[in-house]
Amino acid sequence: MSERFLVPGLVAASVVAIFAACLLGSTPLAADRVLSAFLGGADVGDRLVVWQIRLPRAIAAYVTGAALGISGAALQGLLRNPLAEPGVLGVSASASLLATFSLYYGLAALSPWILPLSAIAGALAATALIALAAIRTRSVVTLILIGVGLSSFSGAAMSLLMNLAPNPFSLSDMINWMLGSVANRSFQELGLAAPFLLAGTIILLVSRRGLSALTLGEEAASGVGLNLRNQRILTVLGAGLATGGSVGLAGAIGFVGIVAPHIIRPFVKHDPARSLIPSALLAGLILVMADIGVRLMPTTNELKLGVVAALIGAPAFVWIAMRRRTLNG
Amino acid sequence: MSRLAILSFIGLGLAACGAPPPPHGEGAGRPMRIVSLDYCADQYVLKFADREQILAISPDAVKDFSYMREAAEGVPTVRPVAEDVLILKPDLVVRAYGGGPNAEAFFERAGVPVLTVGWTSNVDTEEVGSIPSLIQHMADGLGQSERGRALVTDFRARLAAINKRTGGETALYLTPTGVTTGPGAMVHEMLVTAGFENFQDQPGWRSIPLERLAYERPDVIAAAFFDQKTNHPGSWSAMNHPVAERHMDEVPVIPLKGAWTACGGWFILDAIETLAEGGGS
Amino acid sequence: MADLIARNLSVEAGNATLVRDASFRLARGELVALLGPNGAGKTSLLRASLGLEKRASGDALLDGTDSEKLSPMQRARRVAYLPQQRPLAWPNTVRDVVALGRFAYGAAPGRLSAEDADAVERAIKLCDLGSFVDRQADTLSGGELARVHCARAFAAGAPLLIADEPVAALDPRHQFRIMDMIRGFVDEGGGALVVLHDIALAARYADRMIWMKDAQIVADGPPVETLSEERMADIYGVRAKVSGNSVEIEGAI
Repeated sequence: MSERFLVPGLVAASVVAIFAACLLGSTPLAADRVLSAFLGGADVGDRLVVWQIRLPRAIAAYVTGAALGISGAALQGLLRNPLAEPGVLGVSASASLLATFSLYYGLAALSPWILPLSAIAGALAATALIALAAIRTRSVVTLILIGVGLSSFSGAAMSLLMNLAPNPFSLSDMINWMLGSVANRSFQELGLAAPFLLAGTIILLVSRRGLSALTLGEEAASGVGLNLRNQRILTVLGAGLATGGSVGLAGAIGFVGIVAPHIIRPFVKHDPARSLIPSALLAGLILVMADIGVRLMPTTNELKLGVVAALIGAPAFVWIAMRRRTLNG
Repeated sequence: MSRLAILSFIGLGLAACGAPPPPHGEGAGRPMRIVSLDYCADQYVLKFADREQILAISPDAVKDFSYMREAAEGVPTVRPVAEDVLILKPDLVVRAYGGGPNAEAFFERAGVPVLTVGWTSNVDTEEVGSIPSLIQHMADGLGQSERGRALVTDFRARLAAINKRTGGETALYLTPTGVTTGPGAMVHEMLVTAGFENFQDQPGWRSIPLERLAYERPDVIAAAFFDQKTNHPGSWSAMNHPVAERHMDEVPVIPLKGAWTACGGWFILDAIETLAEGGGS
Repeated sequence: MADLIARNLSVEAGNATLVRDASFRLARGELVALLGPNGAGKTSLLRASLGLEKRASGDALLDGTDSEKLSPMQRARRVAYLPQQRPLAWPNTVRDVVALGRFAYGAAPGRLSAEDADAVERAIKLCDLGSFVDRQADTLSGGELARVHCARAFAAGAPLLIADEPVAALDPRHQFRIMDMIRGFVDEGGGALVVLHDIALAARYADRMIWMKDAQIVADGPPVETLSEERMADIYGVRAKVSGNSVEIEGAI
């Protein structure tokens, strides 16, 4: 019963949150002015601020969260573990690394598409590595350790870039890549990320049925008719595209892909396939609220989005890890 | 040997060990083995010191944000690392920030005098922190007081000759990273001296006020560092936003060379003159 | 004619031979027990004949087609396979687990067509899961869970069933219940190949017994022909008393 209200409820909450995000900014605008700016009234300045500055930022936060949420839910289905998630598994960090590499060695200047494509290449490489490792080892601890290794390597490589690149890295830029931010995002950047986010999401949705079968273990899942190889490829591809696209837009943000599916699962009877869409909606909602939070917090420098996500998500990660009991047939 | 002779030898020996060597430059003329540790210090060293006075300058002196880069060609460089510098046995170390925060204390302990490039907070409105006072301070320290006085005179003459803008126009200072500054920085003084009002009214270096730009626009944009590749635009820079880009297209832009506005040096006058005359778009 | 035919099947892993030159046939209407000590090669034989494990030589035909050439979905429509390990990664509900049996027909636990829903209901009734059908599977006992997996296999509506140790670690009552359900499936026209360790249970239910030892099939026939005290001593190394279809193990040799 609660399942039927889940998706509409999340959609409604998301709309409210995005509207609320548009109320915040450096210029104080009352809610009625924001509303009339949405509906076509108000003066040019108000419309410009709402439509060109605040709305794209809120949408960027939302689609980034949604991409991470659906990737997290899908990876958890594939790897059969609630701790799997693009941030934890080093996918976001690898995407960040290749994005900054292309940026600071001039490749990104060739075309605006190079940046999101580099991020996606990094994400795909990491996701493929994790999926291959998952074939050889049953233990998710091993996978998470590989993820830790990937994140550490990416962080170190980015520091190396900082020293060697022909264009000196500005420190604040590197922090944004590693901690995530949607500041100053416009519809231009959204447009560059959108095709990949869309493609990744579609691939994950189209292949979600197999994630349900995987609960039986790989052998029995294959026995009921699941093509394991294809399922792995599609899930890796979809998660890589969605995560890479979101990193190109907002930098590496972790833990959101763990929290959202974990909250959603009891509402969808723990079926990974049915958790995809609600997880995306909830994760988007969480990230918009986090972005509202970073702007409300009275610090001189704006907090990074990934910091807030980690403040909420990392304790959740630890809590889930401690409470987990394994199920045996 | 007689006891007197032994005592004399011991006494002479102690005397020889005890007395420190007289520091160079004290009454002996100008320093002849100058090492500068960063590109701000390089500017003064290259401007005032004779070529034979200079032992080594910093590697950044030839970069395109260094005003005196042409003079720096061919001059040996040294990385601002303590061991590398001390091995050269300098008799004067010149620095603004090079070598780290403890460099001054360190070099003085090693017996090498340090000439520090001070902060400037005004163009020439007060004695303390003014550019002429810094010019003279640096020239004196390098043993070239005459050249310092000449530059100050020239500086003040040019300053007086500037046609300040009188229309009360606002100017916004922009860099590719999308940061600007309000009152309390040398850049602000530069705009004011040229006769502009700073569009940014909040003190400190911060991201350009994007939302304000949707309602108001500055009369002029002072764009610095856009000619160089060293100042990377930054992926989250407000300069990438369409609202800011539109201003770059529609508002008259006065390009400034990045080398002019760096270090609070005398060359900021080039920037002030360009601003006052309005440059190209 | 729905059947599984293995001909001269051999399976190797490195230097070891897991299955050597094995041939057998499984047809509808019979319950076949596959017996043998641990390590005899029973699981490898099953997996190789289904095309899930690589063969070194020989072939296996499922419904006339080489089993290795079948897609997982095609295979799943012909054979319901219950492997030895039956983990459940998530605390799914019983109904959803049974619904997974319809995967090969395009069904998903939340989205069942009328036909799929029917098959699921029938399987639930057949295996008597009605009292806990909406409970989470991780709250069930071993015996109940075994019935759930059987229901999943039956829901697939495949003509053949291959079960690898379906009653291991179950109490006697549940062992009999599961075997009753499989017997019922065979009596309705299905064909079942079941790996068992309990000879008495096998002798009671099986129409045919296939005995394996050291990677080879040493006997294949109805219990009356293949079950004997010599065989028990040879295959399992135990002293047994055999009379008709019942066998009593007295001790190790």
